[in-house]
Amino acid sequence: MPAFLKLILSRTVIFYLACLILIGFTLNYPKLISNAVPQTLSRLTPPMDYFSEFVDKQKGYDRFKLMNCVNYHRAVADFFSFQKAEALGMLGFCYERLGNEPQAVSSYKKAITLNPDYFWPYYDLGVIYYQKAQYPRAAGYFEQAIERDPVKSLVLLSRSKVYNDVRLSEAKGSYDYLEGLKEGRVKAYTLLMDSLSKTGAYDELWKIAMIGSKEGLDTQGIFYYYVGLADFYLKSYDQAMGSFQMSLQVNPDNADALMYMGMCLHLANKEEIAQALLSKASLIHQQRGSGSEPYLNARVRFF
Amino acid sequence: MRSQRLIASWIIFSFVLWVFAFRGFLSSRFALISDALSYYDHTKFFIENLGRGVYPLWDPFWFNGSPNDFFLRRIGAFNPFYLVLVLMKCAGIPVTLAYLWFLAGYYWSGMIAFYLLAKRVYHDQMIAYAGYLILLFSALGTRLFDSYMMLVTVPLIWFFYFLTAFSQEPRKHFFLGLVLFSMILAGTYIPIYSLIIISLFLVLFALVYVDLIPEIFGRWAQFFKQNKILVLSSFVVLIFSFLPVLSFFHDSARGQVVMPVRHGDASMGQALTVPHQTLDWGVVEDLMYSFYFSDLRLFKAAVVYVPFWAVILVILGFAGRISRRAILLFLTGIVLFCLIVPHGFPFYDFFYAHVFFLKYFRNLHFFIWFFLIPLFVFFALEQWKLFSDIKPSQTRERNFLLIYILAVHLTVLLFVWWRKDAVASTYIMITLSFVFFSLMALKPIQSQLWKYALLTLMILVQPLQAYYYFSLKALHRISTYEYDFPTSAIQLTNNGFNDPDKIPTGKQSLYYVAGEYNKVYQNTSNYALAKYLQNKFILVDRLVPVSRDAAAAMLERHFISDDDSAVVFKEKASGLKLTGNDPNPPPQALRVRGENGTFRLLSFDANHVRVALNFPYEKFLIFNDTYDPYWHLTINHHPAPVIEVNGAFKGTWVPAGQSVVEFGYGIWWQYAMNILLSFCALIFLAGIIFYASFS
Repeated sequence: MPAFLKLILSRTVIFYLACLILIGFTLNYPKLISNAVPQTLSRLTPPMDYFSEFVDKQKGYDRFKLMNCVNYHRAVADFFSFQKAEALGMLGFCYERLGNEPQAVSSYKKAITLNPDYFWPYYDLGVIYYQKAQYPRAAGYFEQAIERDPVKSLVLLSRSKVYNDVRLSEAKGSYDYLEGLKEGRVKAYTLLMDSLSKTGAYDELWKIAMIGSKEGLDTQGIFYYYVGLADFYLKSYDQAMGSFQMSLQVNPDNADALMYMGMCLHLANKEEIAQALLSKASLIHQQRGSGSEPYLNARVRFF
Repeated sequence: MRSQRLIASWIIFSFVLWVFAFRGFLSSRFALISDALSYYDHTKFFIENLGRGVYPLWDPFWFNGSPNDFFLRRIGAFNPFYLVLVLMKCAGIPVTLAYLWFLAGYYWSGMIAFYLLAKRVYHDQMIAYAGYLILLFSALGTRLFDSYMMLVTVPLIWFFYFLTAFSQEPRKHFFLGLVLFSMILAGTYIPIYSLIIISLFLVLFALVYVDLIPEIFGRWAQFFKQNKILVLSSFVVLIFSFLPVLSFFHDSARGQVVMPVRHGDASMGQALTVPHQTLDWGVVEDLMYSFYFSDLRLFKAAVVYVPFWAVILVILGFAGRISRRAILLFLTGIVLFCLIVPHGFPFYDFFYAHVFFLKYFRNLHFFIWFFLIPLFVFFALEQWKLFSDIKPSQTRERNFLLIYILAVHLTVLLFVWWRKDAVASTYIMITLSFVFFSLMALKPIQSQLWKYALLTLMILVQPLQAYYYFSLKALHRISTYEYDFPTSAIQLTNNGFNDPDKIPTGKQSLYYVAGEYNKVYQNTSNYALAKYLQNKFILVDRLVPVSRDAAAAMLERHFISDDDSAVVFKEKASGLKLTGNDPNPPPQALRVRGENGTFRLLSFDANHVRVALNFPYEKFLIFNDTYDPYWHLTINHHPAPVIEVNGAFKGTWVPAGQSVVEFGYGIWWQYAMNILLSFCALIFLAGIIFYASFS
């Protein structure tokens, strides 16, 4: 035997590998896994109240709870291809809340690749980029979010074990997927419109705002506000004024709508009433501090 | 000598760090959880009784009384090291603290045994010290506070140490050590684990070191010839040390005790058997579960963890030349693994069907904690040894070695980085490890002190961070443990019924309980049972014979009505006096709510109760403590039969006038066997210390 070959064969690693290969022949891997996976997952499953906290609380999550959820959903994603997308969606949420944004983005993107019908990863990616003021990217994801077929999203969530855990975590009854999706959709529209306004895409903004208001989503006058805003920057001041008026009828405290309405009146030389509106808008802005309009507050969600 | 002192200092220093890492638990600020609670309770009960000179074969506080044999076997009552606890208690240290410090000390002793074993095998102090550190800071230590693994792991390590030492140098203290720890293993928890591990190791050792067997046997034979009496008497004691286990097995076969949680709905008759489905959580599941805790910020109890440096050792050793020792260690681990995985490998099912004792234990993942973790650490040390045996003779070879060290560390670093969940100390450890091995290869450090300092820092940096996170999740102790009450007294009145709203409505499956009590518990409502058990002693005037089948249905009514009678089984009622001589018996049973002129509690301990009664008419005294065939009694020093009443309890007719009734548990040979074996274990320990100090 050549000395080199002898040297290689006498290494420990060769013996260990040979033993492992031999064992591999006696191992019934599917049987091993079919027992180990459910057992492991059952022990990794976080207590139900963890999920309800994530749904209900706006901030101040317990880090250990989030980390435990990371573990569980990593395991689900590893072993169950049929609900990998939802598990990755949950992972994205947990990572984002833990401040690990790159991991969150990576998980969401994988979830989208696995199931393009899944609404929440698009929404959450939009939120992440929106919060980083990367409005064109945010707008792209929000646009994709609202393009999702709500029925398909609903079917996906209803069939998912991951989401069933979430639904049952509500102490009083159970969470309603449909309600969550509706809320998410309105929010996605709102943030999309805001992103478009911030990127100056007023034509696109006008179209989106019109679609949303025709869908009957405008319960807070937000869509009319954005229609007005688009009209304003597209220099259609009369139409803008009409839209702002409709918006303010629903929500008289919309400071931005008041401000733009004031601007429109100013341009129409109705100085006195314009000043009154601008002062009121300024007062509301002062009272609110540095915060934006409440409807623009956003956080990542999975439900 | 200087080197011995140096290593002793490092061993003590590292233990101080370990104590610091677990200070919350060792000061009892954090609570024991899970199985550790029950072990604390039963050890406390045992120690307190020993301190009073009582060997507790009966536990009157466990579900209204049950044989204590099971708990004595679980904790390994022959273990002479429990005397340390007795001494600490006598010194005035609170039992909880004494117990926690005992756990830490006993665990540390096992780690020292590991060091001594590694030193004997590798003849290298640094490698042995590294093994000691890795094992001390492995997850084994965390299990002191949620489980009882070290009650088997520690004696098993000592056993292997004494086996190795005795095989190398047959001396009296090594032999006695071998016998003592064999005894402890035989009498602790389920000895089947140790038997499997030791048998497998010996078989594989014989296969791998076949040429050494005659030599070793020759040495042993010579020792046996020179110490015939010692060897013979030790073997007799060792064989006898299995008797308590066999006795318990025998009693459980008769249904005296049952273990419904463990036994499940298995159709097998023996109460100790476990159905196959309870084996679903095994080694693979435990490892898979632990894999998801690679982010050490999540580290918690029952997660398998060994300081990650051990993995670097294993990889470094891949380049080493294979040795018989490496083959033995690897095969022992891998064969044991294959044998104990019930799903996926064909071996376990075969043995389960054909080897009777496999039906008596279920926690197959315990093999990880009892043996596979120490074995893995030993294997990692072997890999280090094989790597360190690579001695480059030329600069070129040395450069290759450095490149290999760098490649291994880079690979590990990339892997850790790719996982994206490593704590900062993992990166520090990898860097330090690279520095350490590079320096070892280049040999620029001559100072032993610096070598040990670097080694200690490198191994401990990661586990110390892990245990910091572990402590963050610990539960603060806000209440006393279940047995934190004076076990020297019996309460005549149980206040549990004062608030009936708090009595649970559902029935739970009990873990371990006397067989008859379990039947009563399952067949009567909690309300009725709690109402009945308000008092330890009840006096009635009538016995009502009922068949066993009918008793189950009528006990509920009987317990609630509280009339002046007791139910006896018709099958046992022949020739039994059924009524007293009171011409006007009261409609209700007479409950003893406290001591008075008619009833006095004269003495009480775990195995005995003595009461004095003074009634104008004869009365039937019910002692609401579970019936067991090993109970006996005397009335005014004359033996009288113990009658099983009200489904699971005991009683007797007491004549009119002044009488002293004494209930006692157990037969003389049960006490003799337990006390003698404990005494022998103590003698063996004394022998080890005596002969070791002379050698």
